[in-house]
Amino acid sequence: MFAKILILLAVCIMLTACNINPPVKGEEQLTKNKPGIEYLLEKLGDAKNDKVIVIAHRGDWRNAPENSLQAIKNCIDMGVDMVEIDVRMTKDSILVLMHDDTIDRTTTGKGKVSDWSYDSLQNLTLRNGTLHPTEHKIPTLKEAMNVAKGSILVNLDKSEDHIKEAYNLLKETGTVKQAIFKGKKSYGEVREKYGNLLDSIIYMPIVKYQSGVAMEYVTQFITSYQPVAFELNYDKESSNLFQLIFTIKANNSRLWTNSLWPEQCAGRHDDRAVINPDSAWGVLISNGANMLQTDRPQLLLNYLREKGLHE
Amino acid sequence: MKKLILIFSIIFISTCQNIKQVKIEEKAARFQTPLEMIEWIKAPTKDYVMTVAHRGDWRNAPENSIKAVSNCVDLGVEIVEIDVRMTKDSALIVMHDLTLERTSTGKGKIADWPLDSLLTLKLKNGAGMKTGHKIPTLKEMMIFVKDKPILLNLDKAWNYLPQTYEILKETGTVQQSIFKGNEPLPKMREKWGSYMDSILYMPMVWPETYSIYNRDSIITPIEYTKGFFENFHPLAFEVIFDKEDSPVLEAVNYLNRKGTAVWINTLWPELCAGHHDEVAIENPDAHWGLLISKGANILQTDRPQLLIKYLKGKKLHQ
Repeated sequence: MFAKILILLAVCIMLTACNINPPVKGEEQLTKNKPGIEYLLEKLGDAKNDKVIVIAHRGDWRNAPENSLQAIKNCIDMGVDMVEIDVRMTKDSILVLMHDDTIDRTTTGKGKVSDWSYDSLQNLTLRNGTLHPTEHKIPTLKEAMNVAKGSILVNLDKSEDHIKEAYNLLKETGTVKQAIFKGKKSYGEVREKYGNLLDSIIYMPIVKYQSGVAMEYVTQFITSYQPVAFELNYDKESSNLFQLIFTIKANNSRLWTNSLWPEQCAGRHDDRAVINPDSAWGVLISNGANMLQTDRPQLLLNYLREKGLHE
Repeated sequence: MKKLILIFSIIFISTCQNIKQVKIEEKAARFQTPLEMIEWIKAPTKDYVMTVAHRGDWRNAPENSIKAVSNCVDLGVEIVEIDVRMTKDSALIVMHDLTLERTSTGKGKIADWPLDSLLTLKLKNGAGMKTGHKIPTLKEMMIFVKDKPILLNLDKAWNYLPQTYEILKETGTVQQSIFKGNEPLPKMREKWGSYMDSILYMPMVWPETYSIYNRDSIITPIEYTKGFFENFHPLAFEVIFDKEDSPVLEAVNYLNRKGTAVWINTLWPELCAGHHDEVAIENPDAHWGLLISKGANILQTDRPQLLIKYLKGKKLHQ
C-alpha cells in the first residue's frame, strides 16, 4: 500500500512539474551543462554520430553585430557547436574579424581594412542590422579565440592568406584544436601552401560549385588526408556534385552544407525552413548533411532538438 | 489509506488545472482589435505599456517588409513603425533610406525609379544578403494589417499626407494609422488643412536645441506641446530628450497630468538620456523601468521580444 502511495505521489509530482516548467522555446532556451569542447571535437570527428553540427554564419548577427564578440557569446549561450568568422589583416599586420574587405557596411569608418592601422580601427564602432552604430568594437582574432576557448568550435573563413599568423595566434591562445580552416584548393596545392602545418590543424576542403574534376578533388583528399568533413554545396539535387555525397559519406567524413541561400542547397535554405523546416533542413539532413551552416541558429537548434538531433 | 491517496490525487490534479488556467489567461491579449488599441492610447492606463517595433522585426525579417510586420503581430507588439517613400511615378512604397542600396538589390534614389521596376527587386536582410522578400507598396502593407490587432506608425508620411490618406481611406485603415511630424500645429494646419482633423496625429517633441524652436519663434518644448491642445486632439506625443534634466521632461509631466499618452524612443542613447535598448537588455529596470516611471506609456524599441518579456514580468503587458 505504501509503495502505491509513493508511486501515486511521484506521478502527481511529475504532472505538476510538467505544468510548472513548460519547455521554453526561442531565445529563452538555455542549454544547461554545456557539452564543452572535448565533446564537440569528439562529435566532429565521429561521422557516424547522428547529431547534427550547427554552424552560425558570422555569429548571432541578428542580435549583435556580425563578427562581434557579443555575436560569438550569444552562440555559446544558445548551444551552437561552431561559429563561422571572417579573418582580415590590418595595415600593421593585426588579424581582426571583418567580412567585407572594406569597413563601410559594418563599421562607422570607410575604406579597406588593409589601409587602416589597428589603433585607428579601435576608434570605430560596429553597426547593427539597421546600419545604426552600436557600442561594440571590431574584435581581434585573438580576442575572439579567447572568448571561444573551451566553449565553441571556430571556423576561420578568409584566413588562407594569413595561415602562419593565424596559427601562431591559435597556439598562443591555446585554441589550435578548436579551429577549423577551409579552402577550395586541391590537395596538392594545400599541402604545398600549408606544409607540415596541415598535420597540426583541422582542414576542411570545399568542393567547388562548378568542377569537372570534383570527384578527383574529393578522392585525393580522402586518400591523402582523411578530412573530418567536406563542404559541399549544390544548386540542384540533379547536380553531379550531389553524387559526391555518397563518396564523402563512405569515407566517414562529415558533410557540411550551407543553408544560407537557395543556390547552395537546392532551394532548401533557411528562409524556407522558417516556413517549413522539414522541407528544407529536414531534406538536407536526409540527403546526408550532418553539418549545417545557418543564418537561423536558434530556429535550427529548436528544430534539431525536437527531432533528437541535437543536445 | 485509500482516502489519503484520493485526497492527494485531488489536490495535485486541481493544482495542475489551476496552473493551466492561469497560463491560458496570460495568453489572451489585452487588445483584440486595432480600435481597442486606439481607445487605450486616447486614455492610457498605468497598468499597461505599449510597444512599438522600429521598422518591424528587422532582426528576423528584412526591415520594412510585410514579414517584419507579420512577425510583430505574432510577438504581441501593438504598433509597428514603418517608413513611407514616393517613387518616380508617385506611388507610395515602404522603405527607410532615400536610396535603395542598403536594403534592396537596387541602386540609386527611389525617386528615380518607377514602381514596376522597384517591384522586380529583392530586399536584403540585416547582414546585407539578398532575401526572397519584395519591397512592399504602402497599399499592400495596409491591406495586410487591416483589422489585425496591430497599428502602424507612418514615419515620413508627412511629406505625402494627401496621397497617404487616399490609400488609407481606400483600404479602410485610417483608424489603424498614426501620423507624426515636427512642425507646430498652425504650420501643419496651413499645409494640410482639414486633413489634420481626419487623421490620428502625434506631434514629436524635440530637445530645446532643435532647429524648430528658433525657426518658428517657439521658445520652449513645453510651449510647442501646449500649442497642440488649441482646437485639436493630438493622439499622443513622441518625446525625445538627450539628458536627464532636459526641458522636454517638463512637457512629459504636463502630458502625464493631462492624461495624454507619452511615447519614448529607446533606440539610441541620444533619444532617451542614455536609457536605450542596448543597456536595457543588460539591466531593464534601470532603463526601460526608469523611463516607465518617468511617465512613458509607449516605448519604441529595436528589441521588441525582450521588451515584451520584461513588461510581462512586470505585469505591464498582460
